[in-house]
Amino acid sequence: MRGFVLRRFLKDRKGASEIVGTALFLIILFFFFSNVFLWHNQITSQMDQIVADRMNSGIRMDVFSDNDTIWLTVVNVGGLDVSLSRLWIITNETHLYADFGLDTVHLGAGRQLNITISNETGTVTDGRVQVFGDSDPIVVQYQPPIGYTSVFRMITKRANSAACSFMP
Amino acid sequence: MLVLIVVIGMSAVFSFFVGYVSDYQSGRGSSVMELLEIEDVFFNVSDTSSVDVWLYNYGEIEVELDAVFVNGLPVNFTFYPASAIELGDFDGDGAVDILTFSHVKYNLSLWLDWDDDDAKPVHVFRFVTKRGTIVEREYFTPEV
Repeated sequence: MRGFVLRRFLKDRKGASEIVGTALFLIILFFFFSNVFLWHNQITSQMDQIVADRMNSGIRMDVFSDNDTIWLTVVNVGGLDVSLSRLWIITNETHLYADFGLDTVHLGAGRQLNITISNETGTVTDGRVQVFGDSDPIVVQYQPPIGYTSVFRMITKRANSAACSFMP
Repeated sequence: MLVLIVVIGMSAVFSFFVGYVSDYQSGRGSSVMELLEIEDVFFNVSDTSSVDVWLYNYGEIEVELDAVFVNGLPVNFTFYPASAIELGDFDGDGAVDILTFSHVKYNLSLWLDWDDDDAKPVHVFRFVTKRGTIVEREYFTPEV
C-alpha cells in the first residue's frame, strides 16, 4: 500500500511548475535578506570597533604656569594613538576654540604634548583663536582674563575629552 | 492570463521589498553608524532667550538634525553656516548635513529665558537625527 502511494506520488507531474517557481522565489528571497543581514552585521561590528577604540584612547590634561608662561600638557593615557581635534577655552563670558585640523596633531600611546598659551591677545574669528605649529610646542594665541577662571577642554577626533581650569 | 497576473503581482511585491530594504539601509538601518557628541553648550548672558550648542560628528556617516528638545519641549534650531568648514546635503532636502569629523554650531531658541525665575537650573537637551538617533545630555545654567 505504502509503495503504491509513493510510486503514484513520484509519477504525478501535476503542480511541478508551481513547486519550482516557489522554490526559486524562496531562493531569491533568501539571498536578498541574507545580504541585508550580513550588511547589518558588518556595520554593527564596525561601530563596536569604533566604540572600543574610543574607550582605549583616553587623554588627560593639566595646566601649569610659570611667571608669564602658561602651558597645557596633554597625555595620551590610552593604548592607541590619538588625534587632537579642538581645544575649547571657556569663561563665563566667552566660549572660544582652537582648531587643530583633521589628523594634524597626533599623540602616540603614552606620549605627552605641550601646548603653550601665548598669553597675548590674538585674532579671534567667529570664536576661533589662532594656533601655530602642529607638533611640540604648539602655541595657542589666548590671553586668560585676570581674576576669572578659564576652563580648557580638549576634544579628540574620537570625541574623548579632558578638561582643566586656570585662574591668573 | 492568470500567469500574467501572478508574474506582474510578484514583480510588484519584489520591487516593493527591494525599495523598502534600500530605504532601510540608507535610513534607519544606518543609524547605528551615527555618533554625535554635544561638545559645548554656551548660555550667553547677552542673549538669555537662546543657547548656542556645538555638535561634533565622529561617526561613519553624515548626520542631519531633525528635531531638538529642551526640557521636553521642541525648540527652533538655526544652523551657523560659518561654523562648518565644509557643508553637505546628501539627500537634497535643503537641510544641512553634519559631515563626519566636523564641528557645527546651532542656536536654539528657548520657550523660557534660561535666567528666568521660573526656569530650572538644569536643562535637558535632546537632539534627534533624521535616522532616529537620540543624543541627550543635561547642562546646568551658569550663575549670573
